[in-house]
Amino acid sequence: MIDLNHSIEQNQIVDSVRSMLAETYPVSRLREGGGFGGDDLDAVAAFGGFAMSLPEDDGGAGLSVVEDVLLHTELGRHIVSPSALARTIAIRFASETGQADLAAALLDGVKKVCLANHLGDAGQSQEEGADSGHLHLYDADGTDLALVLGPRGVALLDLSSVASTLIASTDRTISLSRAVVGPDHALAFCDAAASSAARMARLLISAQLLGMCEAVRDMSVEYAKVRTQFGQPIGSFQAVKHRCANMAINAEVLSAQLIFAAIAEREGWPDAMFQIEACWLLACRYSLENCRSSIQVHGGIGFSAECDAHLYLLRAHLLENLGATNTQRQQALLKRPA
Amino acid sequence: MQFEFSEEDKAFRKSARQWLLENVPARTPPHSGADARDFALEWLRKRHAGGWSGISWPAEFGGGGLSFERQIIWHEEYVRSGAPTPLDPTFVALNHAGPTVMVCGTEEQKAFHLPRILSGDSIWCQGFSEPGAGSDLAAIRTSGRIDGDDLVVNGHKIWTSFADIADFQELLIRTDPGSQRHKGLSWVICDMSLPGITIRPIKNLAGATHFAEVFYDNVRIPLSNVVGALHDGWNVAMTTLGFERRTAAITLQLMMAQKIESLAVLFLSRGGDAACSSIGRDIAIARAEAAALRALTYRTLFKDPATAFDGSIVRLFFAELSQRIYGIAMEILGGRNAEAEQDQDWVHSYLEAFSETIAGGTAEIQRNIIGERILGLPRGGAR
Repeated sequence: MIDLNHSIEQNQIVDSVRSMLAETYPVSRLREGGGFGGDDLDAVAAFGGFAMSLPEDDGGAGLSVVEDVLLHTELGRHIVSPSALARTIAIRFASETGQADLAAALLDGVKKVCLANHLGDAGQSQEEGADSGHLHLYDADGTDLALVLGPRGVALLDLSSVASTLIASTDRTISLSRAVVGPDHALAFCDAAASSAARMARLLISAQLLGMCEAVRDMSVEYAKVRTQFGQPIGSFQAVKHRCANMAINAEVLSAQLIFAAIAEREGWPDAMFQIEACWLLACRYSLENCRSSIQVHGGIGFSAECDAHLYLLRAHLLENLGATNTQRQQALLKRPA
Repeated sequence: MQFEFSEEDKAFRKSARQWLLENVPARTPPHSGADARDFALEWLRKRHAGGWSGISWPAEFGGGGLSFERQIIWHEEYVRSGAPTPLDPTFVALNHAGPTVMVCGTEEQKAFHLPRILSGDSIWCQGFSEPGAGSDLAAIRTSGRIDGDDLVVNGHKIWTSFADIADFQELLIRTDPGSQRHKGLSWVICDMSLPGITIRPIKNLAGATHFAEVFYDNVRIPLSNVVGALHDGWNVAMTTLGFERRTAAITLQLMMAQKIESLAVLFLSRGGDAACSSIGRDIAIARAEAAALRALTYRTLFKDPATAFDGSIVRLFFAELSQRIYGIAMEILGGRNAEAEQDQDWVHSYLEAFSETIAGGTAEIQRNIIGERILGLPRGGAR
């Protein structure tokens, strides 16, 4: 039987990822007036973060998607650019579609990839349709490719002849551009049933959302211990304590399902798709709940731009819309045999 | 959900499945009374004869001593076979009283009680809560005065499931006069046939009477029935909480997951639209949460129950999820929920599920435990 708790080696990975991120990507870099100009991913690359689940023969560490999930949980805690998701998934996608040179170029950073969300042809709904469509590109400046996530799976898009327009982003810590790709940029989507990269995308998005669930829980608990009103820490009041307990339940339940789904994927169990979809649905739901709750626990300061809680909320909204809407996830899960 | 089971485990699964196929009672279990007693004991005797009683008990005490894998396989097959709920009159004995006697009892207590519990010859009930000691269990006032070789018990217990059909009770009473709170309590085996015991059944909101008040009027219990040290009853009572919350919960979780699948069928059979309805959304979420609950429970199995408080999260999450599920069923049934008799007992289950967030520690107490012991938040002023 498989122990769902982290192994000693996995704990070591988490510890070293944490110290790397604390040094290079403190959340404070994103605060208003900090002059944040976008993340480069050199520190993650130098750490070997994009090579963890690649086979050793291809220059990787020979680990699995489970370790990728651990890394991306921490990246989520630090609200690192969506380009980290794009790079990990694109390398997997290039490998599994026989583009070894591209995978190597992405790994080395010779080719740069950003993340894109396929919004569908109407530009608003995410209904399945023709290959052409409206895209959102995140942190696309200076990138060669976009890893596109849509309801039909993942695709890679060469950006060299794609015109894009910068628009204002709700999540102010990233740059957002809009692009419309025509029939000459046919997107060859690989869906989650066939593509491990597409399944990995769902797992890693869920992982980042888990990291955010945990981060806002921790922030809220720390604040509830030190903020006093009526002569006591507000965390001694059940109304606040129970809100924090709910955040802890969400994070604990999600982390168990995430690690289980990742193991199911690694081991190729027949119910892996169901486990991944269940995880993805809960990740999107719980992360928003926790972020909203965290703003409330912080009270007035929570409503201000000085508190990090809103940074997590805005990034959670961005991540929950990648690749599918909530309705599409729910429908898929209702239909999926367990 | 699947773990990599060995060939031996697969053979074990096959034999469990075959045995259950041949032996699961056809009749629906009665909810209360002598009929419930007979039914539960007969089912346990059958399992005992087949070697399936006390599968999680260590072999030295006559149990199956099964590994986690095999316990899980057994629970999966048990639920798959449509066997009766384990929350029957034998539950306290098998999952709480028995394990407590195993850990804290004398050789005589073990030799007398453990075989009787396993073989389906005795039913136990729990005597912890009192009218003034619910969430605040340490406020127990029922007393046991030492008189020669006996304790003379006076007081009043409440919410005792199956008190009317039980042979023994695990009774938590104040034996050190003048003691406060958690100190000075003792955990005592009470023979329910002793003179001075009066049982008054309580009808619950679902109309069933499976629990009762118990009154003690100078009930003489031999001091040799104290389990663990005299005045150390609180620690004895806490000893087996971890045991209670481990694999036994898996059967209940799997049964709940089955309910969710039936719920999806009920929803679709009534023309429910999966695409855009709040019920479809709720069922999808419930399915995802049932999957996550299993992952959480399996992860908890490997943690030390003495140091991990995940039990509170598992227990609370299960309780609230089951209430949500039956709430969804009521919504799907709509006006038909006015009919007390339903194919799958949805209405009765909906009503019974109100106890989930009250019995064995209310949702509020569980959240306090999570807030204080897991998150380290300060305790409130009044306690």
